[in-house]
Amino acid sequence: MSQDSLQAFLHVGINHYLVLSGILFSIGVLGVLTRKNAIVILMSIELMLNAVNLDFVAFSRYGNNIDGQAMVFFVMTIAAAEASVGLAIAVAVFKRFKEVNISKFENLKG
Amino acid sequence: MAFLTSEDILFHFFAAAIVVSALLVVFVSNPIYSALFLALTMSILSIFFFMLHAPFVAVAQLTVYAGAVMVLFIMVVMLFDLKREHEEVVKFSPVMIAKVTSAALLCGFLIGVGWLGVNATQVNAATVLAPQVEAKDLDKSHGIPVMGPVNPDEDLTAAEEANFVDSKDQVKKEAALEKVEIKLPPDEFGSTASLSKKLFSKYVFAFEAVSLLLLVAIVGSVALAKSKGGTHHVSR
Amino acid sequence: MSPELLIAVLLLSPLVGFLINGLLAKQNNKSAVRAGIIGTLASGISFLCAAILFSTLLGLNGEERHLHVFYFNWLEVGKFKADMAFLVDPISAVMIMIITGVGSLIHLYSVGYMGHDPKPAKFFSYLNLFLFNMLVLVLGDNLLLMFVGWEGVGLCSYLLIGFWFEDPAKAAAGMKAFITNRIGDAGFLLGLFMIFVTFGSVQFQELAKMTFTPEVANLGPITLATLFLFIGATGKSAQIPLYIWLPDAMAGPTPVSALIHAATMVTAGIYMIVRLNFLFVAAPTTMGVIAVVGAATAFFAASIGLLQNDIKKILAYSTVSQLGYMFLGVGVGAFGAGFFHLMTHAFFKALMFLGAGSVIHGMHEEQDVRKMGGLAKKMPITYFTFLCGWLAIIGTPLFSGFFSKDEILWNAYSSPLGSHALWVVGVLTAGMTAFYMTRLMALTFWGESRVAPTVKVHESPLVMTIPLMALAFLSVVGGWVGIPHILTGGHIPNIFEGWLDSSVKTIEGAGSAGEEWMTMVVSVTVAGASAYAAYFLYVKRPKLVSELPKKFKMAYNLIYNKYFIDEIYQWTLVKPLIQLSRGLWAYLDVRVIDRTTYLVSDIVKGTGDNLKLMINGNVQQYALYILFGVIASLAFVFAR
Repeated sequence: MSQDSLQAFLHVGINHYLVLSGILFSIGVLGVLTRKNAIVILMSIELMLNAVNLDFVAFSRYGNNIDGQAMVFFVMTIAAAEASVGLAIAVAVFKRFKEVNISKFENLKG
Repeated sequence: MAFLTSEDILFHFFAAAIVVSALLVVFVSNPIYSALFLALTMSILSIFFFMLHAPFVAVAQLTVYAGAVMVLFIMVVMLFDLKREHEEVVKFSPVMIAKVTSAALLCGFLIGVGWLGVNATQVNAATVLAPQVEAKDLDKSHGIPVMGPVNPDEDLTAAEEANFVDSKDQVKKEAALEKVEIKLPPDEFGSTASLSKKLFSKYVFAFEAVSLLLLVAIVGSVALAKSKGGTHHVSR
Repeated sequence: MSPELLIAVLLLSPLVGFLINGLLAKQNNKSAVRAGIIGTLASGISFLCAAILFSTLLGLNGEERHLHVFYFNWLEVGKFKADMAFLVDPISAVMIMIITGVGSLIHLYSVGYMGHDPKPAKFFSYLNLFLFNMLVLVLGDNLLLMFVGWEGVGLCSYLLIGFWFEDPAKAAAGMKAFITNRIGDAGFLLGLFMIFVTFGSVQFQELAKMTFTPEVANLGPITLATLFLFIGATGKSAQIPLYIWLPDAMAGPTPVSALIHAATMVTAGIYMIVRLNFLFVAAPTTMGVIAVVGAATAFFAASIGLLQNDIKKILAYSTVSQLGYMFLGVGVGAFGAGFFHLMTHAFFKALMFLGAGSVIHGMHEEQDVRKMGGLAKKMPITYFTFLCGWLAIIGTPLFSGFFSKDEILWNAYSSPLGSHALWVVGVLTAGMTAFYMTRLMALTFWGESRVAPTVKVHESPLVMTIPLMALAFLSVVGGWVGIPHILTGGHIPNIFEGWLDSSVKTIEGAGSAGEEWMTMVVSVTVAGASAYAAYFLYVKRPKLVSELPKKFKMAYNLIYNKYFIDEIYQWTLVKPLIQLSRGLWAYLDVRVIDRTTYLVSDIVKGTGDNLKLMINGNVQQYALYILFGVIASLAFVFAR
């Protein structure tokens, strides 16, 4: 029934949003693991949080439950707070070391 | 293709866009470009929120994330003057392979687990969005009746007049309360009203706590960034 | 005064004395008098309590004649029950009188004897601790509490023998005593366990109420238990094979020898057997063993004592020999006689040890009798009191030793468990005893003076001679409480025998009055003849004596070197044991056990070292590991 499966593929449902948010989250994870610049890592974390937000809202809509959007509210707030604190730390580090490349900060080895 | 709605087309288009944008966030070498692409990603995300019947969240996304957080990021990047910090991103070492594969695996498992969960709980696209009226969420302790949308041109009906709050007429009001049943029009799904009702009743503690958290974050950020030393190599 | 209070004071007074002298050792060590007063006072208070308890007991009659005091439940594990409870009955009453009475006299004596010692407080604290432990031993109402005291006196013996431990030989003597004792203690413990397993109780009064059938006894649990207990007794009371520590114990100060190794600690074995007489009576095999070992030890030790030259060593072997007599007595069922001899021996042996100490003190630390002689005129009080002791030990009629020794010999002859052979051995030993004691008197006090001209002999101070006089008095009259019937035709009762009746089942001798007279006459004659022979040889013909060793060289060497028993033990037991220990250490301990522990630690360290490589400071790597974990858990959820 290729028509049905095509329909299922094209007609947007919860699964589409699931896949999308999964992909975005994984890209964010990849960014955290790969990049050396501290600011870009923070940005990847923001990307992850956004992916989660997307998931929440999607489930809220398809689960018919407004609670998901309330969660998004909180996640957004906390992400903002965390971004500001993280950037403040990055500024402090830069002031001290003139550097935000994390490969230069490996003192905690052994 | 009558079964393909406009919503579907929009979804697929913007989904592609957002994935490309996200990939570019991670893989461009100049951090400024990364930040800009992230802002783009967030903006596209707000479109999704609009599509998902979450207008408040969508606007908040634009205001807070794309508007405030990303500006902060760009400010910090510019402060560091990182032109010379371009780095090789794609290295093709075994570690890199491991990282990419594990990220891919993660993606797969997340989707898989989510799919299973969805099948188990039968959340599906055919849900009709019912009005979000929950009588118990309402706070009636003050006894102040909430009036629905009132046409200012119309006069109050006799019943509504009787219900009108008059401080001199407390007894009358209470008597009126017992007689009249308050019928509220249902809130639309995802509207600010319904979201705020949830926030201020069920999640009010979290709401207050988060505001405290923001205060702490503000104070912390200022304290952290206030350390000695300038951000330019020209120092006194 | 209630018995609870009396017994508590009795026991705690020496303990408090120990603590005071022990904790304030630094100050008290400066003044022997201060330390001595505390020690003697503690001992004296105990004696008062003992006397009160004794008189209380006198007022009671027959079966009532005991005071049982329960303080608290000490130990209760399953069926095993041991209380902190004490039993004052005729047997223990006599013991506490001896212990505290003779003990107090010796404390007083020590004030003088240890006057110039650098650490008198330590000495008196140990003496007091010893008193405490000995009292616990005799007053405890169950075997476990007795064992506590048993171990405690062993400890104090070690501490006091090795009092001058700076001299390695003296320290070694202390260790020898402790180790030999310990072997005996193992036997005691095994006996205790067997008694508990067989009878379910270790409390004396409970055990006394049980009946023991001889059929069960022979080759059964009772025999085994009593044999083990007897092994313990051989350790503590210096019988064959564990007597070897006592002669070496003379390395300690003389008051210690008097108190511990003559009057009290060594009598613990006898006391234990008398205490458990009902048990031993039901095991004739063990009784036979005890009698034979006792007789053999008495003979053996006396023979060694004939040729010793150190005044204290002579007395030490004499003690071993006399203890052998006591075991002979109890071994043939004459518990009363053995116990009687314990009492009289305490008097005259303590007296003689203190007298020897007085001689040593007066001779400025000289102990070799060959360098003494003619001291009778220079140390009159010491001489006179020592004379009383001498007369007592050789069995001079009317002196204390006569009555007790005779009682034993008579019972050895006539008791169903005794035999004529045992009696003969006993008589021969009596002869040897008389001989070597007279030899000691001759060489030390009589005859020509062989004292080196540089030594200024002087009599000891009053604080030392008063105890001597007190003990001399007791040596003379102490035996009059146990006068046998035949001597007086029943007019004067044998008080001692009657006293013990309620607690001790004596096996009566089955002999006629005529035989009893015969034994008495024989022993007196033999003793008298030996004494005269010794007098003749050592006073009248000293030159003959110096010739004898050359003529009987082999015999002389054998006996003089204590039959080389110590050397034999060393070669057959000690050396192999040390080799075994060394071998086990080198192979088992170092190679196997140590290697295993090192292996374990190496494994841990290796694992740690390898895992450490994971921590390289690269945060992204850490994040990757976290991601692995997340994937694993998701996979797990997915798979379910």
